[in-house]
Parts: sequence; C-alpha cells; structure tokens
Amino acid sequence: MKIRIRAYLDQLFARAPQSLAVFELKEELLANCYARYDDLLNAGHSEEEAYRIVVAGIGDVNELLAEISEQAVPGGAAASGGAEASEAKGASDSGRANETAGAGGFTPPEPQFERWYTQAAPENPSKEQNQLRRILFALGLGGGIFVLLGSPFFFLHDLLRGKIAYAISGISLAAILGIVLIVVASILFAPRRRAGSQRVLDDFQDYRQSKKHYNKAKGSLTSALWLLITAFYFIISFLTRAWYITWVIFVVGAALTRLIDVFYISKLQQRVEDSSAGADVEANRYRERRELRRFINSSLDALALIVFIFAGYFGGLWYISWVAFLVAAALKHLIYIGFAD
Amino acid sequence: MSIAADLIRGHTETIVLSYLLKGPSYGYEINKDIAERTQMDYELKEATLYSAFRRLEKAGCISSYWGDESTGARRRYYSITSEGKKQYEAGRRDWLEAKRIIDMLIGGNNED
Repeated sequence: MKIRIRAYLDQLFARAPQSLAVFELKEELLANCYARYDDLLNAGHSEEEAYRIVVAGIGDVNELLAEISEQAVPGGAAASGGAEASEAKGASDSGRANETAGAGGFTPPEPQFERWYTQAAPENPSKEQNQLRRILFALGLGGGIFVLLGSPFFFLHDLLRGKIAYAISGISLAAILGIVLIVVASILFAPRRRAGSQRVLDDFQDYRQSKKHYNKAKGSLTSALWLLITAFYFIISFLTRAWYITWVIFVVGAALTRLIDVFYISKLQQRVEDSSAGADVEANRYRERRELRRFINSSLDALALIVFIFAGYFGGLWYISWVAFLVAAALKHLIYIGFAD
Repeated sequence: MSIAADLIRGHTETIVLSYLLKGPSYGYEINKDIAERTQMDYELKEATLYSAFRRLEKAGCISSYWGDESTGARRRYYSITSEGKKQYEAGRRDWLEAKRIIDMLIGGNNED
C-alpha cells in the first residue's frame, strides 16, 4: 500500500520542475504520509481506508509547487541552513527540556548539516574535473561539426576536377568521422548536472535513475544504429551504384530506431515489475503500447513510400501508386482503434 | 464550516509558530497535534502546511534540518528562530485584536 502512496505523490509531482527544493518537498511529504498511514493502521483502519485518508489529506500541491519554483535557490538555502544550525541546536535543547516536562514525548535528532556536506562533497565531480570535461566536450563537438560540415569543401578541388567517385568517398568518410567524434564526445564528456540531490536519495530517485539510465543507453544505441545505417548506405551505394534508390535504407532505418524504443520501454517495464518499486506500472504499460504503435506506424509509412516509389518507377504506375499512402493511413487508423482498448 | 476553515487558514503560520515554541518538530507531528486538539474539527491539508513552512522559512521565522531516520523516508524538522518568536507574538496580538472586535460586532447583537 505504501507503494501506492508513493505512486500517488509521483503522479502529483510529475509535472513539477526537477529541482532540489522539489525533491526535498517530496521526501518530506512522503515521510509524513507514511507516518500518518502507520498511525491510521494502528488505530484500526484497513489499508484501503488508510490510503484514502492519507491521499485526501494531501490537498492541492500546485500552488505550493509554484511558490517553490519561484524561490528555488538550493545553494542559498544550504548556506543559510548552515548558519542557523547552531541556533536550531539550541532550540532543540530547550525544546527537549520542555518536552520531558510535557506529554509530547518525541526526541528530535541533532541537526545534520556538517555531516551531509562533508559526505556529499566527494561524490560530486570536482570543479577542475568538470572544467576538463567541458573543454573535452567542446573540442570533440567542435571538431566533429567542423569535419562533418567542412568535408565537402575539403574535396571541392577534386570534385571540380572531375574525380567525383574519389571526392564522394572522401566526403562520406569525413562525414562518418565527424559523426563518430560528436557521438563519442556526447557520450563520454557531455556535462552532467551536478548531483546536488545526493542527500535526498531514496527509492523515488532509484526509480528515476533507472529511467534515466535506460534513456541514456537508448540514446547511445540509437546513435550507434544511425551510424551503422549511414555506413551501410554508403557501402551499398558505392557497390551497386544504385544511388537513385539506396536512400530507402534511411526510411527503413527510421522504422528500426522505433524498435529500439519499444525494446527499452519493455525492459524498463520488466525492471519496474521485478523490483516492485514500480510507481507507475500501468503508465509504463501504456507507454510500451504507445511505442509499439509508433513503430508499426513508421514501418507502415516506410512501406507505403517504398511501394509508391517502386510501383511508380518500375511499373510506371505513378498515376495510381499514391494510393499506397491512403492504404497506410487507413491501416494506421485501424491499429489506433485496436490499441485503444 | 468552509468559511470558518478559510478564517483559520489565514492563521496557519501563527498556529505553526505556536506549536514550534515547544520545540523542533516535523509536519506530521504538527498536523496530528492540530487534529487532536480540535477533536478532528479542523483538518489542515498537507499542502497548506507546507506552504506555511516555506513562507516562514523564507521570512527567517523558522529553520529546517533533516532527521536521520534509519528506516523509511527522512523527516524534515523545523525549529523556531528569534525572528519567528517575534512573528508569533505579532500574529497572536493580531488575532486577539480581531477576535475582540468581531466579538463586539457580532456577539453584541445577540445580547440585546
């Protein structure tokens, strides 16, 4: 049942900006909701009742989120927090004296500022490391773009002198080199957001993290696939000299990359179900179906385009082959209806 | 009830400060105390409570720190500052003044 509380909060915060202040608010809300939930169970409520009461007690968080995003300055909050730590300590001591006399009976723990910050520091990359990464990233990206965009000019001379095959192979090699440079630089050195939220690590973020991890893996795989497709295109084209039609490889490639999306969503789904840490198993299942539908859609588009070109070019049926697009559109619509339920 | 609730909501910050005068505490503790002391007549929504916390912290009336619960999610504790104590006194005076005037205006008619 606690998973449902977290799932509910997850959903409430789905559109909130991903700042430290928001994470902290979520953590705070979660701790209090759990405490309330446990109390309700102890008071004899059923799990279902307790869940309903807890969720009903949260209220409207939108206004609160709006306030937070206005003032969110994590660094500033940390500094002022440190300054007031000693005061908090004093207050907690006097509070405890009152508390033993009174009927309350909770013991607030000591402030933890010093400990967090000394602990959190080594986990974040140092400033110098960040700077180095940024420089390497800029170099890789800049070099890649230069080679990629400049390649036609490097071989302009040969092109003008009629060494066309030589020039084209040079240009395509340079283009591949440029793409490789850009991809490698992005994967290895792209600046990462500093993990300021280390201190509020809990299963919430575990889930987020795994999502992020999958997205990253998916991104690399997609870029690698495009690289392969491009290389494949040039190789096939040079071998067959069928430039007029080999571009179809890209159309098929676009459909293939969709397949990667389906694969990753279903993998994430599996992980979510395995760990049962899954907040939105249901939402993920929906996502999985959506990706599958997108894959089928782009495959249909690709197929229609190929049929259109082939029937037109080889059969001379230009006057009618466009019907392929209508058929594809109709099929897509049917699939949409099929997926709706 | 809803008008009364609105009226009370306007004093959420003073209510929170008044509880924190007893010592540092966290959201649920304060909410539970409110429910118990009013015999469940008044329920403060979590969202309302947290926006009061944020406003008070921004104004320097309270400061916060995380607890070190070993199990489950961590609690965020709040403690009152000297500025907060001043603010509490001001809020309390405001309320007593308003109460006195409203009693005179509304209660006065019934006595006749």
